Amino acid sequence: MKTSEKNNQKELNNLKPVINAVNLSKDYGGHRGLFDLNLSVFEGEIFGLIGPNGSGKSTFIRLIMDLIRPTSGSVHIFGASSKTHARWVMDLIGYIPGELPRFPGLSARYIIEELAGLRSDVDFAYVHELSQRLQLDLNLKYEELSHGNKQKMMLIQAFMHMPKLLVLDEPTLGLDPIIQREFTNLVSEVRDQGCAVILSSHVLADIERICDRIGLIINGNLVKVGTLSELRESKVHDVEIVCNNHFDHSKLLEIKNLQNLELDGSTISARVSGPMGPFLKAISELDVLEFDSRELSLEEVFFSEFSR
Amino acid sequence: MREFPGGSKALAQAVSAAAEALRPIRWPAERLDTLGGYLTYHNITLFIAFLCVYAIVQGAKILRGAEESHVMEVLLSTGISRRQVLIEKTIAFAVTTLIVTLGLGVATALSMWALGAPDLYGSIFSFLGALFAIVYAFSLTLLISQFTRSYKSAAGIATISMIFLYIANNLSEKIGPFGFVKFLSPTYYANLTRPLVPGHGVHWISILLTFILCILLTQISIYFFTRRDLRSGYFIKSTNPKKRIVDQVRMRKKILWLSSLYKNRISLVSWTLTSAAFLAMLVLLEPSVADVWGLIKWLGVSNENSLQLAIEIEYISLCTSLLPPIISGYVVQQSAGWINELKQGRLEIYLSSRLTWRSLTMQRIATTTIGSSFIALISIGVLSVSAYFLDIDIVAFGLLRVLILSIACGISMSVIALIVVSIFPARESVIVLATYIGISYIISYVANILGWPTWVQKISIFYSFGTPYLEWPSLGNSTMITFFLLPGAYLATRLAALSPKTA
Repeated sequence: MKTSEKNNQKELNNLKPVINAVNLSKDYGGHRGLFDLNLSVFEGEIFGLIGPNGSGKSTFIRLIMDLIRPTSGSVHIFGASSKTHARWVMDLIGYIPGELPRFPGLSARYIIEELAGLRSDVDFAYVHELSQRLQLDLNLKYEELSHGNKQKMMLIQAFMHMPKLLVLDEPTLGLDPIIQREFTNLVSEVRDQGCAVILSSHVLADIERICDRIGLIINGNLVKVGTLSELRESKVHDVEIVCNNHFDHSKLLEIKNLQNLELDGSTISARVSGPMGPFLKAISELDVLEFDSRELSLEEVFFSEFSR
Repeated sequence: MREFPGGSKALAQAVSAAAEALRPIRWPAERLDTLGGYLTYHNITLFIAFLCVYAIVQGAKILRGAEESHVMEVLLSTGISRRQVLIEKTIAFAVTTLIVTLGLGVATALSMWALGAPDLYGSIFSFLGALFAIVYAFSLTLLISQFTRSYKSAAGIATISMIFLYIANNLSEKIGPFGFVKFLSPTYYANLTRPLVPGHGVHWISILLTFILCILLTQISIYFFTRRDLRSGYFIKSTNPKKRIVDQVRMRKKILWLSSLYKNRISLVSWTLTSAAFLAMLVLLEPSVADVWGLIKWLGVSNENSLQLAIEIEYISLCTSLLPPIISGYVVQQSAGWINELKQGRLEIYLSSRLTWRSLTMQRIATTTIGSSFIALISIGVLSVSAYFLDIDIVAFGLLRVLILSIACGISMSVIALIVVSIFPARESVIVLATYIGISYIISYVANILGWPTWVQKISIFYSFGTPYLEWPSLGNSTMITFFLLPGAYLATRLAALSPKTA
């Protein structure tokens, strides 16, 4: 384990686990489901779940919410089982399901009032604040709202009782970029107040921007957990240089940790895995006009993991 | 018929009196001394009425249901025109109805053959003649659904209209100048074709007329369908979210069971009005029924001591005995709502709060109890007022008993429905429950007449409640009711906790 990872682990050990899943499995048969998942999510942490469709993200979220029961293993919320202490545990959670529910014939306001009745403490002034920040008119009939506006209502009901844990399955689906930004702000604010957040999303840019740690689930297995930099297994960089003089590219072909080499006139692009030294040495003789290097995005990490 | 004391003539005389008494439910009744006449009155008219109800459900669902589930958007995106969609769906319904009516016709022919009066042509055309009348009910609902806000309101308005037209048609000779409304009723045209009744035949003019009406109504529906917004009625203005401002009105928490009652208020009011109107109508028929009451004692609607009772008491007992089945129907409809809560994702949201399964189950029972009480209270109130104006003596304590036992029946049915929905959390469970209510009602109605054993009678939920207007249930039956009310509720809670929270 690297030093930075050890430091992270030490920090996490000092925090209280809000979600603690131990050997958690839900087997639907045919290698579908979730298998032996071990994970802790802590106070004041935003944890992102990524993975392809059907990989088990929503299954994990439903297990947390006790909507489905595990085949084996356990998951505890604030140290308690959401099965045996449902009333207490659920009151601490704000939840958005992966699929929008239907509320035929009701206004968004009526639904909020009804769901508030199922919560111990809701400040309606905060509900109004949320509706203004998310630009949602609560008087409108829910079924007549667009997908994005329905999602806003779901966000309001998840945040309205100021939960200690937010469990959000695809929370930004259908939201416009302005509201996505507002959502990011909201999540950051509640994180700063100590709320733990676990969210799944296919919008990897969101995850990259707001999550403290990320878990990659593939085929029901949690294959990687860590910060974004930890997920980039070896330091991989995409580099691009523009040079002024002719260049013998055969020297570059000899560099072992260089992939995806492309030459386009005076522009050279490639992917360097690991130490940059050999590549820098090879191009040192060039009259370099521009040099651009960037680490892989979460999306690129995701695709490289998934293609394995 | 031959086995009936006095033979077919005596049976016809007895049934005629009962038929007159129950005219709002089923009419016309002619040549009941013949098998064809009896079957037409007793089975065919009712089957056709049921098919009209089926047509209404389909008429509302086939277009507006597809719009609400967004299926219509996908369908129209393929390039098919709205006109085409509507015509093809109408043809599809007509073909389905053709198959069903042919099937029923064949079944009737087999029955006639088995009972020694074969009449293939008459049997087939008894149903086939009603084909376009049924499609007319469908087209009428399609037209209504062009103006309503949702599928549910289309189905609700069409159902209430259909019930009104059905009863108005049956009573058309009794309601004076208002009798003309029968010409709007699909069953009026269907009943004109009665080839199994001696002296009647296939009424080709009514068949042609209903065919023309179907085309006309379909064309009008096309006119509105091609001009309105999807998922909205023709005259309903869509709101523009961008122009409205965020609401600042004070908000209040809602209690779930009260909220459930409020959300289902239209359904509750519909059931209440239907029940109250039905009981009032039966009471209004009391003077004419009293004259022939002696002829319909064989119906077995009264208790063992009925011989000593006044006709008025017996008749009110018959009327109030319909209240538990009506209330049970209401509860079954509520159970469809519970299934929808699961299927449409609301249950998942409710149970992600501090609401537990136990609490939700108890709240559901509370909702149906209040609803049942409301229906019973208003219906009994209307019955009492009607009886007062007709100077019919009523037993106040008997009505109180009816009220209490009707509510108890509603709670018992809720418990049964909760158990069934927990074990089979699918839409089919509602059909199972509705069938159970139907079987229960039939058993309670014919078991005495046919002398079925007690254990068969006990299958009926209504058996345990006996004749509430006349007496309290026996100790054994009271125990049975208590089983449903207390341990049954506990069992429902336990089973609910094991049932899925997500679809």
